Amino acid sequence: MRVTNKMLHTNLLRNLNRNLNMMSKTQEQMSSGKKVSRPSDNPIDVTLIMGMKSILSEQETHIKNMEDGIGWLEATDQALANLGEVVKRASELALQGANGTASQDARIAIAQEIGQLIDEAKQIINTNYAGRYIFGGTNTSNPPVDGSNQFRGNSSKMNWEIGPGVTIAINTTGEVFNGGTVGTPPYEPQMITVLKDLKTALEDSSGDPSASIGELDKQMDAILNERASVGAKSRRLEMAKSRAEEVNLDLGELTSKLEDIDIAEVSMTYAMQEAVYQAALMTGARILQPTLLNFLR
Amino acid sequence: MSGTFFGFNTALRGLFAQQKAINTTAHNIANANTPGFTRQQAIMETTAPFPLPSLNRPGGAGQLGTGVDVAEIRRIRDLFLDKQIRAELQSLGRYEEEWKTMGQVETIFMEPGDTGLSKIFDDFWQAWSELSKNAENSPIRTSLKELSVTLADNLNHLARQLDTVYNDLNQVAAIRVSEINAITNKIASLNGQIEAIQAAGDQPNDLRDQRDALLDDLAKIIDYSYEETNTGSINIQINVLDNSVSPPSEQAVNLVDGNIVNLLSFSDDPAIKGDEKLQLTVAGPPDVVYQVVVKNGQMKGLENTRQNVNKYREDLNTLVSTLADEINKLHQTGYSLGATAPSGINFFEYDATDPALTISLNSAIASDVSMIAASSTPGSDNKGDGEIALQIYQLSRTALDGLGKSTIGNYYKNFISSIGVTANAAKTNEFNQQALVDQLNGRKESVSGVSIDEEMANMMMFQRSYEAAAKIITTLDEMIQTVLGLKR
Repeated sequence: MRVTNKMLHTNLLRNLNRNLNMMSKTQEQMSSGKKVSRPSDNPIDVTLIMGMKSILSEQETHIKNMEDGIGWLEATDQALANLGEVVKRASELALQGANGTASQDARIAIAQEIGQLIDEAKQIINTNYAGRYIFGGTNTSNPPVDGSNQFRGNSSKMNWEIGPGVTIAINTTGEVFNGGTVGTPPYEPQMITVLKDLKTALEDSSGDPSASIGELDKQMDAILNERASVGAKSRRLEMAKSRAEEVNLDLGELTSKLEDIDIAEVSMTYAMQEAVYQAALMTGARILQPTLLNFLR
Repeated sequence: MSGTFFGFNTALRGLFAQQKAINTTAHNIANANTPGFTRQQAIMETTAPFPLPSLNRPGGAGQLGTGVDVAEIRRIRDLFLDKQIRAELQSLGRYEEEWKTMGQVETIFMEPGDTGLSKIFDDFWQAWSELSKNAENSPIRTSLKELSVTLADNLNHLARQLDTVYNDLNQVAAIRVSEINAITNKIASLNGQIEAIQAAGDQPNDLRDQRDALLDDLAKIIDYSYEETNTGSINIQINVLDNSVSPPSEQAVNLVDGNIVNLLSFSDDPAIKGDEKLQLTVAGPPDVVYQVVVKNGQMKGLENTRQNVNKYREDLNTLVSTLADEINKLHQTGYSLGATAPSGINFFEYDATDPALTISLNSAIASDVSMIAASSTPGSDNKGDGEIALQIYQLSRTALDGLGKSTIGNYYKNFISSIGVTANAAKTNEFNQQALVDQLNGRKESVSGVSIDEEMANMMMFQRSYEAAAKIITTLDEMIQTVLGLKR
């Protein structure tokens, strides 16, 4: 084949250009830290990355929901534990009051403490967590129990999504304060009624406080049942959350494998490309100089 | 028997011929870097010998040569290679145009990245999930509002950018058409000059080079066929659709016929979006207008990408209208914060003629976030109810009929993937085609290119021959001196 000077020149330029193009691509990867920066770089990987990022984002949403849920359930459990203490104390006091040896003065003193317990129970029912009343159903912005001891919340559950299509009813509603039975608001929760009855029985010298003991046990059962359910939900969320976090870690790693460059590998590639580029430049400088012209007088 | 001064003429012819050849060499060297230049060669032939064969031929050894003449100054060119290169240039032009536009389209979407629509969608859905947990929370409502505005703005922006690309393509097409007309005009005028010079018996090499370069330029823009007539002009034909017969049939029509040019025109009637017509007006009278059938070249690339961009635009509209409709359907049944009647209002609003360009957050919601209907139950006693928000959040995973049983995320992913695959194919095609054309050009250069070494060697050869011919004249002169010296 006949070789002309222009051919050498065009070839050299083309090769230099190709090398520069590859270097610029590698440099883009180094500076962005990403293997692909546009869909045409690798359409399949780009789609995979986009899909994984969406799944990751969804997972993060669920993890956040679970974290919030765990917080909510802890607040619920703490409130119910406190209420349990109130009922326990009330039972003790009822027993003391029912004892025939108690004087009327002592019974009045006990009745006063029961009065305190009623206030405390109301306060517990009106617990708020992050500014929301947690026992009022979806009526989260008003205290469930008003000044006249009427429960104004509803029995609506708040369903939070904790997995794709999986929801959990996060809130405990008013039944727990009503011996486990649903009431039609506004109503006075049995919890308050029982304590009030006990107080009245103690204040009245002929009253029989022992009648309240059975009622208090019923309230205690409702509280313990609910606490068991809250605890179970909490454990479920804890487990689901750590599983989701593990999956997220794996997914993140997988995404990173698809998306992120291996610095060592890319640096090596770059060094190689640079060497090739320099070699092309050097041969270019040598090959372009000599023509027959240089050797004629 | 030849005369005394016979040799002078032979040597003189030699001088002239070598001089002509060295001038050709000078022309080659001068044009070593001229694009489109073909190296030329002085073709030398011996002149008619003396005596010519005849019946009354005098005795003695014959024939005696009378020297040399430059019969022709010829272009060294492979016409078959030209045809091949032009065919490949057509594909190169097409792929170049496709890659240029697809590269532009894919950058518009900025995927995969932290600023792409995909990320904005993820944030948007996350905001609905937050709202489902904290329906009465005003800051969370506000952040959902802001994200919805961002989403709508981004969709508007994408639509506008795709429209810009589309309009640019139309402008480029119009420019290309005027380029075609300029090129065919020049070819026709060169045809005229070449014919005239050839008729006088000369070779218009440089004009032919110019015309060949123009044919190469034209090949990049549009596909055509061509043939050279025996008078030296080149006729160019393109395919058109003849609408006068039924069904319309394809036929070839002259774009250039000798020195007559038929002009192309481009109509970008917005009513026929994605199907703009390239038209050829064949000079009459009466003028006939044909619809051009473009099969390759930049014009084909433009046609393809115009259709692609138009399709992306339609897909974006489908995505937007489905998204808005599905959210609105749920939102209308929901209750605004503390309201006792279903809100009945849309979350997103859009103009059905162009959803992507016009989608926006309902202004009532934009000015009052309590209007977001997150609740499935009425009244101010249910402010914490986020059931509708939850259902809207769950739309992100729902296969929707409007999107061909695809989720919004998957539909968008497929959309990006389709852009990626098309762009990738365009890029690969362009790269490979460029390599092919480079290779063919290399072969052309190998045949037609000027080699300085070769020209230098030729120059020395012609110079020496010139010196030798001159030497013969000197020698003959000396010989005559000898004869004249006899009679002193």
